[in-house]
Amino acid sequence: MWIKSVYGDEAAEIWEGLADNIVTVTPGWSEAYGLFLGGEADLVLSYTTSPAYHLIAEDDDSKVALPFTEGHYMQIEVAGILAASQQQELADQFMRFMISDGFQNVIPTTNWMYPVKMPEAGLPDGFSTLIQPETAILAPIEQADALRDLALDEWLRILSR
Amino acid sequence: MAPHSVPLSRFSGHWSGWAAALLVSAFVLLPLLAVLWFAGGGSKPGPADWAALRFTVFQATLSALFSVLLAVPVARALARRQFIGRGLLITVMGAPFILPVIVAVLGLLTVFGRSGFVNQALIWAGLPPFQIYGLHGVVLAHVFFNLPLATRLLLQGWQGIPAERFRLAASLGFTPLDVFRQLELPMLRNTLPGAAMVIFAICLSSFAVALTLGGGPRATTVELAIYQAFRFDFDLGRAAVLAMIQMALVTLAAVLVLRLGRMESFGRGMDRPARRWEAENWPLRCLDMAVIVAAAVFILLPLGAVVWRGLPGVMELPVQVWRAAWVSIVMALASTLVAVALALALAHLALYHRRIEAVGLLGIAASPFVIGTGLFLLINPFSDPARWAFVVTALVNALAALPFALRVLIPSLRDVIRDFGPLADSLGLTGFARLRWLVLPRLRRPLGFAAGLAAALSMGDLGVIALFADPERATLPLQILRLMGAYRMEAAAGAGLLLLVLSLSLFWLFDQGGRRDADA
Repeated sequence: MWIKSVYGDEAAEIWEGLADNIVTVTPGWSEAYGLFLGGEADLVLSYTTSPAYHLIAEDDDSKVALPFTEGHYMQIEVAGILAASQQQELADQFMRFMISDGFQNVIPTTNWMYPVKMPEAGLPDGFSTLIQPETAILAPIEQADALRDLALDEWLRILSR
Repeated sequence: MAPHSVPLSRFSGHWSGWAAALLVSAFVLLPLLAVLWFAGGGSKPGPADWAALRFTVFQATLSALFSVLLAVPVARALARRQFIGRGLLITVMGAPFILPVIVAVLGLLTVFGRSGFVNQALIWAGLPPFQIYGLHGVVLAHVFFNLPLATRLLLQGWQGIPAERFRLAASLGFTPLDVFRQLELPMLRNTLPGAAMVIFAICLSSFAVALTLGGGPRATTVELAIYQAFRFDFDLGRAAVLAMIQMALVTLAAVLVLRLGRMESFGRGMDRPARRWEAENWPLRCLDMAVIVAAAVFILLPLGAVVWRGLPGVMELPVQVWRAAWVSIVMALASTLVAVALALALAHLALYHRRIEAVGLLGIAASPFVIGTGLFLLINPFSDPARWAFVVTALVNALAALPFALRVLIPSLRDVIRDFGPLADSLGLTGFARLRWLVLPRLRRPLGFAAGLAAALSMGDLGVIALFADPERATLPLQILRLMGAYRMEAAAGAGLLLLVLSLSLFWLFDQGGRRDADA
């Protein structure tokens, strides 16, 4: 999505240029990150907050995120209530709990992503060393679906060769 | 087709066999139909899907061929040599087969990966590094997973040759080549196609291995295309059609192989341990030892890597891991019971209708994504699917183990019925008594092996639980994936080691149970 958003019609050429630098693609993030930590690749597609885990949990400052001048694509994790839920009231309470300070305060060091609401205590120490992208990229919601199909097709077509 | 002329009505396994076949087919086909119905019909696979199909068949064929052909010298060496630790080696060599894919792949990469042992040695020797990613990497990984299974299946074939045959061969002055031509080759003609068939079937539905070691979308398999249809497009119609193509492929392969294989056997022996006079010389002894050492290094080095990576993490395993381990054990035992019961019933039926074995293969041919989704759709109108996660996963795991259990049981059961069936018939030994006094005691060893395989497979399989489970009921493989997802690679490696130990222990318990007070 980042390549498609930044390069638009040239995305295919960018993938062509990248293709022989890609070690492999895995079913999910976990496997790829496992290979990266195992020394299989020098770079892995991950989060700008990933180095914070290694810094805070493992005292290891050898992992860094590459800053892109074009900006970074955002990943927002969401929670919701099913319209068909039989426990609307409880679900509602839980959603309120999710945006409470106690909940948001542990997000940075458990989910290792940014909290949606800044906790009163601020971010933990290691987070200040992370790169701070100037531009956040996020495809508009009404276009995202079509853009993703296009991006996926292009990516598949070129990497399948 | 009956191997001997016993009236069918006197054979106890018949109705249960049909019931088992019906149950398995329904459990695979109904969810598939549910998915199709929900999607409002199938949709046509695109050109990328056909490319995936070609690659799938190609890699599965290569993987199956390499696995069984390499297993021939290994099984022969193990069959004609006795040494200390032989039983342990055979058990431990079965481990790759039962590990969750990602744990095994990480172990494999510690040896063959970019910064693995092999490449470090190559760089030290000034040679160009070895690149594992590609078709050869996929085949290498599949051989690593399936060589031990093929070896065990062939070893069983060797053990099926009565010791008296080797004695006769020795007294006739047979050379090793004569023994190979007269005894071993006919045995291999019987066992090789069947072993290749189950390995082909399991490699066909390979997904994580093919993608990760294949180096990306170039190595797309049908199973991966199904995953894509689910994950990115939510095109259930296409997923169902692809699953049907995959099932058709496995069925076709099964029908071909079952026609190819023969029904002959060596007849009854006196159950004496086999001594191999013709192979008792130094050159052959060295050859066999070399083969065994090579196979052991190939299998044990990556396993050693799993242990070595896992040790530091064992100390810091979170409590969820232990709970998951408990869930996994209970589930494995339930799956084993179901798998063995189904296999025993189906194996009886397969003596009369050989193609029925293809039904057993449906379980691994049908994509777990499709089956899981179909079951969800079927259960949802009546009950909360999460409540059924345990039962469904246990059943699906049992089905996944069924083809292996069948492959182990059918040849042995065939021999038992041919050798002892007439006597049992003349004694009027039928029904449950026949099972209790003839079939179960004579089948103890293959039954133990089949149960061990089923238990270990069920432990290591991520299965459909990922689609259903809530955190309370996660199995160990799911918990490993969750730990990895939370950066806790060390704890994940520790949990992987725990899984390896638990699976192997279960396998060993069943396998040894079957071999108790029998010769090696």
